[in-house]
Amino acid sequence: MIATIIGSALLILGAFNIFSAAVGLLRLPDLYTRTSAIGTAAGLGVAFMILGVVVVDFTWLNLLKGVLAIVAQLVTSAVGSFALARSGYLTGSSPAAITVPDELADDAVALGGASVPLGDTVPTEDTAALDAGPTDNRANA
Amino acid sequence: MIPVSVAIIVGVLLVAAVALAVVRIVRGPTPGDTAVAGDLIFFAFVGLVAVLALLFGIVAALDIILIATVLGFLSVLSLARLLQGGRR
Amino acid sequence: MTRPWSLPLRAVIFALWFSWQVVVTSLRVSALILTPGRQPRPGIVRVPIRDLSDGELTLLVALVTITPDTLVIAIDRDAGIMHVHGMFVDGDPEAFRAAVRGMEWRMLRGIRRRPPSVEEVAS
Repeated sequence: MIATIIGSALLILGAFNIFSAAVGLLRLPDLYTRTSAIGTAAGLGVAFMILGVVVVDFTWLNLLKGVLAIVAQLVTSAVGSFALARSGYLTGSSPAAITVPDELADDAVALGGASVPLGDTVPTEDTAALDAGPTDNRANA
Repeated sequence: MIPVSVAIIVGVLLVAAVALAVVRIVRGPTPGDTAVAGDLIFFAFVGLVAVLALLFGIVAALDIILIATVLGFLSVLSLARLLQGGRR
Repeated sequence: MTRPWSLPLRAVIFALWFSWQVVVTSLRVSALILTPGRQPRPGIVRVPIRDLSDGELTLLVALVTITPDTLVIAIDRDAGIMHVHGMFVDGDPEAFRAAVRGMEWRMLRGIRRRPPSVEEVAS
């Protein structure tokens, strides 16, 4: 009985966390902040839900599987976030203008590196980015 | 087993999350945003599997979740690779 | 505390600290998202990479990226720097750099038999 209550609370908390990450996906201004929002769903949301399942249906084997799933999930999200952020930068998702400082842009300018479209202060608001700007690079893909 | 009401609350939250993520996929603007939104849909899917399995008393719930999370790893990697058009 | 044989204890302490860090930063990011009208003040900061092995660097990048508020965007080992995106830089790159290096120091204490001291890290 108590296990059901605690497990249900964990499930609802986890689901709420995933929902709030989805809100962030819409609200936040650029790819990098959105990736951070997804990180909360990956870190807390899924972990809480998996823990909820373990608590409701407790066996030691389930606990082991649950912990394994959480660790796999965290590694997935870390490598995934890094790969997405990196490829995002390479394919020209400029950070929003509110990103202060942007030392990656500074460094790229200092090195004269033109491999990434930088120095372009077009904020990645939906409209601005649709018009022109860095996102056109994906045509090369 | 969990109460049906809990399953409904969780289900509504997760389906709403998927709906918001779909809005982000439609709006874009970059392929990266699409991929991130896809990631979130995957998390919501894992959560839905967990709740449905508990609701119907399926014992393999955690095995399904474990396999899903490991597969998610591969899908994210291939997505990122796709975004770069095979470049490193 | 930093004797070689205390490594298992230090590893457990670091794992607990890091788990707690994930919870705290997740809640911070969620609170930001759910507060109407509030926008983040992110930044991308250059962080020097100390003398780390391949495995240690990989772990550090993974840990920094797992905490939801920070995200590694680029690594340049030749130049010895990486670029980290932070959700709460708030226009203060020095403090942010110090925070990332603080995590690096805690990580080294959790995985190395003979971790560097505070003084070595501060240099």
